[in-house]
Amino acid sequence: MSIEAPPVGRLKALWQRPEVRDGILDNLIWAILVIVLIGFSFIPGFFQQPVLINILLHSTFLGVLVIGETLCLITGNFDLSVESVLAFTAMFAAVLMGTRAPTPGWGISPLIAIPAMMSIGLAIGAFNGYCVTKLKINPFIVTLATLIVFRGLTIIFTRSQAVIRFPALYRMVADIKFGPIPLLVIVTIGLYLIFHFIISKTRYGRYLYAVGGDERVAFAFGLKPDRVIILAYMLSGLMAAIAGWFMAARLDAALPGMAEGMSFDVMAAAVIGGISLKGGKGNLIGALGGVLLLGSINAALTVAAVSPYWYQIVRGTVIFLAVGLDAIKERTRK
Amino acid sequence: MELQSEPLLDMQNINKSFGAVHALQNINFQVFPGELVALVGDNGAGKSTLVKIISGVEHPDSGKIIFDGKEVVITDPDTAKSLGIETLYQDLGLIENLNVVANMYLGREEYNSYLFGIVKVLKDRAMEQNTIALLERLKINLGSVREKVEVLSGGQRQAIALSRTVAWGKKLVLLDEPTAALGVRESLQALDLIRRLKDQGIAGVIISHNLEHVFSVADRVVVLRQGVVRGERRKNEIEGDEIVSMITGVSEMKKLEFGENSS
Repeated sequence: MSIEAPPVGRLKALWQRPEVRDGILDNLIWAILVIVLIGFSFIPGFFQQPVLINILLHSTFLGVLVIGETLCLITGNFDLSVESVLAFTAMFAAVLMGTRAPTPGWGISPLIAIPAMMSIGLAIGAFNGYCVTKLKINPFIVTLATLIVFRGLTIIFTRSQAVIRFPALYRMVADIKFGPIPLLVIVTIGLYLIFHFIISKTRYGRYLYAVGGDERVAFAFGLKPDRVIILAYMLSGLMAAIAGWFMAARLDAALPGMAEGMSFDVMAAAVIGGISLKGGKGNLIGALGGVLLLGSINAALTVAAVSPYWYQIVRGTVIFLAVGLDAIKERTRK
Repeated sequence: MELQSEPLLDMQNINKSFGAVHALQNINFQVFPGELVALVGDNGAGKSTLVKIISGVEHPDSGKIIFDGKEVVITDPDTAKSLGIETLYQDLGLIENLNVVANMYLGREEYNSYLFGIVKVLKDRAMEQNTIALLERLKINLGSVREKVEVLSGGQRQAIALSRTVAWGKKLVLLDEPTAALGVRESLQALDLIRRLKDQGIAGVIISHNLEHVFSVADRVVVLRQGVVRGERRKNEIEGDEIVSMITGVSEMKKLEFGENSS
């Protein structure tokens, strides 16, 4: 009797609209994050302001690196070197500013040291990108090499010693708080908004996906895939330098071993957030979900006083689940 | 087609090798303004390679290309694009993970510039409306232009790739197997689309294994075999099965059997 479509039929029609279906599938990570947080709320002491602020604060360093990694991953490449670029640029700026360090520094102003470290990040990224595109060396080999070399340089720089105590201007980004929220968190959110806009609304963002989808077709359509990829690596280097600044400012120190092993957390967060290693899939908002999920899991394990030895196993399992979920998503789409 | 007019595209003594394979040998190939030339030949005859040289994907080892009266070096597809050459490739179709609109406009996006031209913000709405209008005009039926290409059927993809090529081609359109993957009705639509090029005065090169399709649209047929031009016929000169024998080389084999010199 009723002329209205049954609710199931209407849901199905909604599901068939590409923007609705892709929107839901691409943001599945947020649903998972909510479910996981509800689960964690049963851990006594988890849902307290200091814990939550701590999750956000620790997510800033990882989060900034994930932005650059996401750009590279969307083009179908990846950047293992981010953690070493972070450490090297942080150490470089520290030595430039040369405070009370074991190594005598040059006493240069942060106003010069910060742009200098950013330029080095961009330059290392340009080198990575050049090797991948023009010399056609596998991105794994290229960025593994820069990962090792720049860690070595960071250690040699100060003969494996830390540089501590920075000028207030350099530390300001980590010292200022708005109520309980650190400025670092707000700046990171700002970076996410800017790069989300670049990826989803600009021509460069469109080209990232095109190159990641099929580099040969993109070339045949008149694009210059090499330029797109080199710029992605440069931005990844820039993000690593920014993360280096943030981390050194927060610690008020540059350490030879800082961020060691972080590149793998970066890759993990991006993959958990729905960025495909094959390129052309996923978005930055999903990657942010991956960052927060990893951060929440770490915090929950700490609050619940789980042995640190379990951390790696839990994180590894989460990556497995994320990749499995990705495969299921792809099947649903088709 | 008046023979007196200058060719739009004039390729002279083009050679191309892939390792030991001499894919194209001293090819001379012309396309006149507004003319639709069919390039036929068996698999591996060198048709796609010739098209890719014109479109800038491959580069000739030697030879000269004159386009629109000027000698040109087509270094990449971007250069071909700026000359007014648009190509439908057999093996390089569309980008699967992008939607229909993004594919239609890839490399030709409409955008607003900000911050001294550094930031180029896409005009997504305008491009979407233009795509819908274009597909409607060409009578191509899709669910939604926001659909990613990977979920579309082979026929739909081919139709989009073809309309993209036809819509953007300014002087010369290269079509490598435009009716492959298409059903009977879709093929007729595609051929209709190709004929419409001529009304706009745009020249074309079409590669197809389907001789029936070729004869229905082409002004001239050029036969390639093993990297060499074996002959050409204007549309009204084609007699019986001679094109087929040129493609397969049967006529020459006969000559050899009877002890005559092959040409």
